Amino acid sequence: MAIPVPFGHYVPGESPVHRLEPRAKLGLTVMFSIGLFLVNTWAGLALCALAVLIAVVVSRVPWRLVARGLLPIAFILTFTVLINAVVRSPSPDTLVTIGPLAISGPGLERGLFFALRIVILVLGTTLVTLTTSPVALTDAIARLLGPLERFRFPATDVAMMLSVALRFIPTTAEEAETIVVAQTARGARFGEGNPLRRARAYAPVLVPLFVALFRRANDLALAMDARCYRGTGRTRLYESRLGASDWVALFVGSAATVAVAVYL
Amino acid sequence: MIRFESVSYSYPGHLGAVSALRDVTLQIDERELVAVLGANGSGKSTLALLANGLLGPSSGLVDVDGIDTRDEARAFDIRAQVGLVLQNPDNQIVATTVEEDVAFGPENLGMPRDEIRARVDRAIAAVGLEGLERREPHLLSGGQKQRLAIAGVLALDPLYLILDEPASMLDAAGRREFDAVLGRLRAQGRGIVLITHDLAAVAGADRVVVLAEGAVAFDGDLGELLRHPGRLSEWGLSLPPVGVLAEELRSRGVPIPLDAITPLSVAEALWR
Amino acid sequence: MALSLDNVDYTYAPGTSYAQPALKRVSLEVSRGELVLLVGATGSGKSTLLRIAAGLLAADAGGVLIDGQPLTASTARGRIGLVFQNPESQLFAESVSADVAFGPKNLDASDDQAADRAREALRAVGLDPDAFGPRSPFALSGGEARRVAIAGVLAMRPRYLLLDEPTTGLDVRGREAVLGGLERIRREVGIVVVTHDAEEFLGQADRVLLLADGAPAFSGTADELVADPSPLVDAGVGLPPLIEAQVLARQAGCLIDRLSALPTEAAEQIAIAYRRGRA
Repeated sequence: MAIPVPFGHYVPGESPVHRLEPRAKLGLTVMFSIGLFLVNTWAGLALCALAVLIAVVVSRVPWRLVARGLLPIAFILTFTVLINAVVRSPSPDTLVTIGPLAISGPGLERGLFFALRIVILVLGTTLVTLTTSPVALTDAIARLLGPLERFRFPATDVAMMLSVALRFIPTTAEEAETIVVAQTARGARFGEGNPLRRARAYAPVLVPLFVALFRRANDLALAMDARCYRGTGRTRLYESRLGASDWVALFVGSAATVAVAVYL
Repeated sequence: MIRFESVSYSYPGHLGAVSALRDVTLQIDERELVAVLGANGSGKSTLALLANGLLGPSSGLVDVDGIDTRDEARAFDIRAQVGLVLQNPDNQIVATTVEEDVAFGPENLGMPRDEIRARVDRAIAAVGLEGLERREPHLLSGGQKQRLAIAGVLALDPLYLILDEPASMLDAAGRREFDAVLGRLRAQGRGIVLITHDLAAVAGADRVVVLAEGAVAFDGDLGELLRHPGRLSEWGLSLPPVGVLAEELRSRGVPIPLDAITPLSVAEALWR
Repeated sequence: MALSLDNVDYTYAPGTSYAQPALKRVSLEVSRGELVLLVGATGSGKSTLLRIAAGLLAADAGGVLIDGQPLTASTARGRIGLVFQNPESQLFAESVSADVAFGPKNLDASDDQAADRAREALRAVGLDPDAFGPRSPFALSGGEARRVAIAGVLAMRPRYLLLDEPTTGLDVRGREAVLGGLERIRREVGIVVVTHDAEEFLGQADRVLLLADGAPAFSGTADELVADPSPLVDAGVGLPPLIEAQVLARQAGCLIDRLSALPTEAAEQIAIAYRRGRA
């Protein structure tokens, strides 16, 4: 995909990071993120950075793929640094003066700290999406939400919706492409004119696509009913299980998070 | 047996109620292959949805082996007994791999894992998709998708199977694959209802039912139907070219049996 | 005045490890007033050839000319009409007439001209513009929607009409309507029909191009192919049932003089041979 997104596309592999059970992975990611935001020393931040570094190396995913996740947030990073570093002059602790503004030493340090924190967070989450298939991720989210079913939350339905959506992404993309080509063959032109004009030009593509999607949803509902779908009580052919190594990872991860958060 | 007794079905339309089926009475036995012929709009798809309880009749009774389809408590029993395969296979495939889609039905009924595995393997074998278990559905050919849709329903081990226009979106190779699967399903002893507008597809049926404008216009065997081929166009149907050939031969004094509408059956008649 | 493809090659993803040759030295020509049938099994390259003929893909090698000029996206515009499979899935406008007028409007026709072309096109496919014009394209039957989609392409008054599986998925009435529509406009356009089902169009076609694995397996008149239909078997397409019946009859000892794609003619020939055999 040419579009830079803050998450990576799944790259299959057999590394320990890939093999970590998806729910454990999500759990660790959450704990890591919390720990990361509770840290307030450079030493602590360095440890977090080291953790991510080690994870990337172990996963054997190429660095350029992981780093790609940083592209979309480049602006935010710059903004974070500047907004902390730049103050009105005159002010104490000035490093450099630029006209009415100045760069403050402590401010710059703070800005860099926050920016680095964001970088570590994004690298970590990008690594998760690079090492876990979309289906495994949605299944993990669904199972983690499972207990909420007791509180009338339709966890199974939500899980079903997510996985059906995934199943139809390639099909819908193909259909969209066919419609674009067909309308182009009727002389339609896309990508010309001002934004408003451009948006209107897509009506001949979006309308049929949506009509087809609604018809599909209708048929799919019938087919699911016909195969006895009822939103609860489902078992699964394949279901990931937490193994010993997953528990160890979770234990170590929690301990490390608590330690870092409290002491650093 | 699936029984329809004086079944009518209508639904609200823009300009008042639209009648899809009028006073339909018929039955389908297990081990029978019944072809339901009709033009688009004849009510054949509605018939399919009524047969497994997805729709309830506006009046009259539909029952499956003694269970009324309106009995909501037994809805799943009926749907597991009467498998329904709709026309567009793409819109029935729910999961991201072949085997997980076939597993969908058994998973819904909360079966234990080894039972699911056994049923999935059997269903995949019955439709000839072995080796494609981990394939993503959008990478399958039209014929393979159709067989996957059938496998998904077979996993529930239904006694009856309703196939709505199964071959309309298939090419020649796809149709050949489908015919092979149909043969296997018949050999398994299931009651099969084949819904189609294509007369050429009904050659092997035990019985033919014609629906026209929501009513049963004919219920009998193929030979009887073709005795008066003039009615066919009234019903929005037509003889396939081979059937026309047989007609024309009969009118020239060459004895071809009435129900011969396949190349082989016509040639066999000439051989004698 | 013809649309001609001369010894065209095409490979998908050339130079990569996914490279797939789709067409090898294929030639196709259609003149105004002709109906050419492009037949082949799935994967034989017929859809690729159709897209090249429509100017959507550029051939890797070989010449593609329209009325003597090289075929490009701009020389194709307005002269070649392409109807995809299941074209009714592209209907989008509020009314049938607005949808059919979309094409002419894109070709810079005035609103009045576009409306006239739309009416003309609807009539060509057998739909009454006054009855169908105001209706919503989403409230039509399968056959009607298919015809509206075809009308949408005809409204641009193309000189060459390319259709991909125009009758797939339609019932008897729908198919008759589409075939009728094609017969009506035959004389004014050059038509190429792509299909996996030769039986539907073999009787109407002037010439046939049969593809197998991207290479031409037969190129000649429809009559020639009917006289010796074995290329259809070799190419994996299979014999149309009517032809198969005649071939099997021959094998059964009925010495038919001449095969035919039309049932009445075929019956005549078989009856003669049958009586001869009985004598």
